[in-house]
Amino acid sequence: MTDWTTLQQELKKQAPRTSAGSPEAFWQDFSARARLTVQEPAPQPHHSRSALWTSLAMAGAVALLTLILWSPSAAAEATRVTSLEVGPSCTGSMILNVVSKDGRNTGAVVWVSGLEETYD
Amino acid sequence: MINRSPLLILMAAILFAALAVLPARAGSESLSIRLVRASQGTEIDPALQDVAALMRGNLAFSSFKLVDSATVTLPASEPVKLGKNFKVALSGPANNLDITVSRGTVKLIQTRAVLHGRSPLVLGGIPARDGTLLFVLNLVK
Repeated sequence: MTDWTTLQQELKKQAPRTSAGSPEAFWQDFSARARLTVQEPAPQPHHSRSALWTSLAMAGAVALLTLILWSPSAAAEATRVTSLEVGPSCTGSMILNVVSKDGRNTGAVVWVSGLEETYD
Repeated sequence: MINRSPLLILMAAILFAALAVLPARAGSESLSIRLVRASQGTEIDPALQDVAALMRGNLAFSSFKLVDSATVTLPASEPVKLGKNFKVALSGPANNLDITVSRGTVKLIQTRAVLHGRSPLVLGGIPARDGTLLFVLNLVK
């Protein structure tokens, strides 16, 4: 960044031109004066350390959030049947993994057959 | 000078999310059990709207009526009585749940399932007056 106050002071120290020269000479002189810039101060050590800690904290926060939201238990999984046993009164059974037509919902169905009618 | 306000807000939000999510996962879970009469028709019980599309799309029934329901905390300590003569015994956590459905003293179905979120488990095929009975089990928050 240019410190314009310092630049202005530096320009004031230069001797004023009393006679007009060629346009090339004018722009050469102008460019030479305009290059008077102030060097950037070196960054303070505590600033870079603070930025480092900020970056580390941000990275840790993102990692924690990722862990919370993307852990296996958070992943959308379908219910599944791992074992099935039916009573002797059943003549048949089946396990179905089902999905709704729009694909949004899933589920598992255990269906038995051969049972006598019940009066609920 | 670095503005730390966004960082503090972000950290607070993450801490809040962690506190809200982690105990729910580590703690007990609630299981909803619904006894449903499935038949041919057009009526769908409002209490079954969450599973109606799944069941209509996969089962040979178009009408679903809620007969009875219960919600239990897992692991369940006692069998759940539903309808007039049904009993559902539950053992273990939701990710390894043993389920036994009995009618009176007769064991009908004994199964083990891994339950996930809103994905229901349907146990069905019990003939009844005016339709077929089925049990819909799913975790509730």
